[in-house]
Amino acid sequence: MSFYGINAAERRYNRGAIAASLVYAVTLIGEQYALRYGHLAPVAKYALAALPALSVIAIFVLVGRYLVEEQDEYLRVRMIRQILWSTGITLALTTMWGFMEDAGLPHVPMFYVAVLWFCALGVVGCVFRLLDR
Amino acid sequence: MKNRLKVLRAERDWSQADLAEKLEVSRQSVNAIETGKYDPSLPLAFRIARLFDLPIEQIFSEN
Repeated sequence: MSFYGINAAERRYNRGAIAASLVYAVTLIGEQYALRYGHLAPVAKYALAALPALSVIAIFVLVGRYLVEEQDEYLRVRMIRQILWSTGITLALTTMWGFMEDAGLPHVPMFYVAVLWFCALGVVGCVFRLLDR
Repeated sequence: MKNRLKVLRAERDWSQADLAEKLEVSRQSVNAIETGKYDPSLPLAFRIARLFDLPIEQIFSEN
């Protein structure tokens, strides 16, 4: 059922996430370069700027697919708890930060919400794995 | 919910990994059930009962 402690659903998720991350890096670099040096129409600029977001959205879809494909009920529940914790942490921190911007904290671009969510997902995942030993 | 999974497993000299393989679940699942962190679904509870050839209520009990 598992290979080196990773089952088929986890393996598919990991492969997909790595592929999406590589596509994200390439589209982000290309988008930044084109926006800086290209002479594009506004509509083309918006479309180009949205490209890296598609890879991030793809990882959200991969998380959803993992939940559907995971055959081990405990690992599925653990992932759901992990998602709930990371969503809660992200919502709490971004809400707090938003209000603190009124007091002078610098404005943070919206795409950092996804970055924070992925970081929280990773940290919570590590904590859960440690607790499971 | 309490369970006797650890005792039953020890009686048969099975490791958590052995039991996980027989039940076709992860070792983490066995560990979580044994330590009471996770209550298995009814289908998994039936599989456990079948494996040990015992009625469910002799493995799982209310607190």
